[in-house]
Amino acid sequence: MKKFMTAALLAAAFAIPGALIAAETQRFAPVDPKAYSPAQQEFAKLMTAGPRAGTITNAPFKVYFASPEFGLEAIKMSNYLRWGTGLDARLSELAIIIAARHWTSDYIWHAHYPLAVKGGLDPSVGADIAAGKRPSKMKEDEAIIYDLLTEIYRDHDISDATYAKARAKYGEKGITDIQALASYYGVTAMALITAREKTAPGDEPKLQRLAQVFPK
Amino acid sequence: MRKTLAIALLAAIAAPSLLSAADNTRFPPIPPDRMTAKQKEFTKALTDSPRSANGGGGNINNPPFKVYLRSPEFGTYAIKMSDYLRFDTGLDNRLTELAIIIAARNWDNDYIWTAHYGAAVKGGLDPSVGADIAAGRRPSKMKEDEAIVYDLLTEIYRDRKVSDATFAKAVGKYGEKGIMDIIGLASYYGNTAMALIVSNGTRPAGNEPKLQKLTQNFPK
Repeated sequence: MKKFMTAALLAAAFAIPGALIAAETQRFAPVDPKAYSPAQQEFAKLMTAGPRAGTITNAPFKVYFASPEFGLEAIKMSNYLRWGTGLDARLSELAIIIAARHWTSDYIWHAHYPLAVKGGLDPSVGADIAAGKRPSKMKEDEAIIYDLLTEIYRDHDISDATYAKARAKYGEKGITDIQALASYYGVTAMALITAREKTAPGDEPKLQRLAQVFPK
Repeated sequence: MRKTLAIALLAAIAAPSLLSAADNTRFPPIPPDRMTAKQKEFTKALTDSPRSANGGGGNINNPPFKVYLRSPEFGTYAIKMSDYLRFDTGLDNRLTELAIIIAARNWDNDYIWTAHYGAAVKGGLDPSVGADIAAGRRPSKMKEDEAIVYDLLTEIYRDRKVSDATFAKAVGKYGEKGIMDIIGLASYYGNTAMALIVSNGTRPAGNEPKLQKLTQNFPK
């Protein structure tokens, strides 16, 4: 009995206040599946299907989940942009890590840097982007995507030279898909920022904090 | 006959100025008889959208829609997302349009600004709020619910983080769903901005206050 009381006191003194502090700082807490609305059930089903096989309690999806009508459209859009455009994973993932650099989103960076390398992107390309340098080892099709997106982000304007190259390589559909893919990661970044999502440390090069993320 | 000629001459004079107002060098219009089945489906989604009833929107030949048209599968999702975010979240027009003009300020996008400043004022936003945002000042005449939207979005854009105080106010006022809808809306206009940049989309300016070119869009 005395032992039990000591344990209870210890629990009360240390564990519970700790848990309360953690709970206070948690944003977008998981929802009990029994309490899902029909739209949330539909969103959960879509999330776990197909090539995504996602986890609904992970950010950014737990944020989308708060507005499942939005989330459904976002996931359908993302599924198309990631797996339905016909673009190589090497190029899709390059567009995504450029978006991550624009937002300085460690979470997206950590999740997608390895996918870019797995897709065939030279590891130094991501390392240069993380350091705020123009990558020195880009293939021609990669440099076109890099120029297209960095001019959008940095200059809010695409030069005629860059546009002409992008048009010749990817066509108007490809340009639309590439900018939409990067743009889609804007909502991911904003959801992650709002949820204050922490990133598990990996061995990928880290995004340096820079005043200008894309050099002129 | 002379009258017809005169009209034709007037049309010839008018046409170049119309062409320069809508720069179609990039992403020229696609005639309906050359559209694929998916492009037709996208066009229908756009013209059926509630935006058409609002006037000004829903024209397939206008940017950003002529950009979306090139990738109609993406475009169809984008329009459905936008329809929900603009017309179905339950948020007042005043607040929806405030979120949109803050996104326009973040992107320095005159097109979105011109298209939505008027809608924000029509929705009940004090005209000085947009004027202050255009000038890079924190608006001095915001209602409490407006200030929460302003703080949430500007902290995301400027600081890449949302403070506890701002998050607590936002959850208290809008709930988690409202927060997602507000950031979804602002973020969707990032998509619009990028498509406008890609296509050199311009529209004639109105008498709204103009976005000043600033190094810091949202003051600390």
